[in-house]
Amino acid sequence: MEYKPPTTGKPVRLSEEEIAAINQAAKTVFGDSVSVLLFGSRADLTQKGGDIDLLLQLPEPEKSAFTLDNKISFLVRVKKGIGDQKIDVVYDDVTKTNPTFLEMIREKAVLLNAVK
Amino acid sequence: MIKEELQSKLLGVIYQCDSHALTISFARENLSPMYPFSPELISFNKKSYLTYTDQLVFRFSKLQDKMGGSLFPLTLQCLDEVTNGYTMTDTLNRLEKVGLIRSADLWRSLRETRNIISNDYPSTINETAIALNKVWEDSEVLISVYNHIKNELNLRGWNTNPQPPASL
Repeated sequence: MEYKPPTTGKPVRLSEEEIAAINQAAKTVFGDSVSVLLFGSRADLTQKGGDIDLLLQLPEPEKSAFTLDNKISFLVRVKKGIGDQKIDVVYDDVTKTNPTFLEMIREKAVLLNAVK
Repeated sequence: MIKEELQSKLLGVIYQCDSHALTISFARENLSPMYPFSPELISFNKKSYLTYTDQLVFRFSKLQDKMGGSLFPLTLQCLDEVTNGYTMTDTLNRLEKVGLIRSADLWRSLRETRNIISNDYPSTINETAIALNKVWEDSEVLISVYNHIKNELNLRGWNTNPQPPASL
C-alpha cells in the first residue's frame, strides 16, 4: 500500500485510491464545503491494521446535512469504492458527538482533502 | 452440494432467521406505543423500554448478519448459481439481478444501520434516539426483504418451513 501524504503533508495508512474514494463520496453527499479528516490507528504509521476512522466537518450553516441518512449514504458510497472495510464516521458537531471526545480526536486528526 | 443437503442447510438457516424475525416482531409490538422514540424516553431509562429496545437492536444485527452471511449465498446455490469466489458485492448484484432482493444498495444501507448501532463512539442522547428510530424503520424493511426471499424460494420449489428440533 502506498502512503500518500494528504494536503497537510502528513502520511497516513490509506492508499491514494482509498483517499480519492472517500473524498469523492464526501463531496457527493455533503457538498463541496466538507472537510474529511482521518483519525485513529490509520493516521499513525507506527500501527498496523485498524478501522478507518473519519471525522467530517462542515461550516456551521451547513451542519443540517449531518444526518443519519447522509452518514449511511456516505458509507455505502465509500464501501462501493474501496470494498467492505470497517469504517466509522464521526460528525464534528457537539449536538451529535460527545464534545470531550471531539476535542480528543481533533488534536491528532489528519486532513484528507482540501476545502476549495 | 446435492439437493437434499442444500434443503437441509437452508431449513437450518431459516430456522435461525425465523427466530430473529419473530423476536424483532415481538419487540416492535411492545415498543409501538412509544414510537417515535424521544430523547426524553431514553433519558428516563425505563426498564420495560430497555428490554425491548435491546431485543430490537440485537436481533436486527443478528438477522442482518445471518441473511448476508448465510442465507444469501445459500439462496444463490438453490438457484443453481455458481458462487465460488463470490464477494458480497457479487452476491448482492446477482440477487438483485434475479429479483430475490429489490436493490443491492438497499441491502448495503441496512448493513450500515447495523454497523452504526454497533458503533462504540460516544454519542448524544438525541443521536441515540435518532438511531433507534432508524432501527425501528429499517427492521420492518429487513423483515420484508427476508419474507420476500423465503417466498421466492418457496415458489421455486424449496421448503422454507422448518420444523422445531425434536427436543423442544
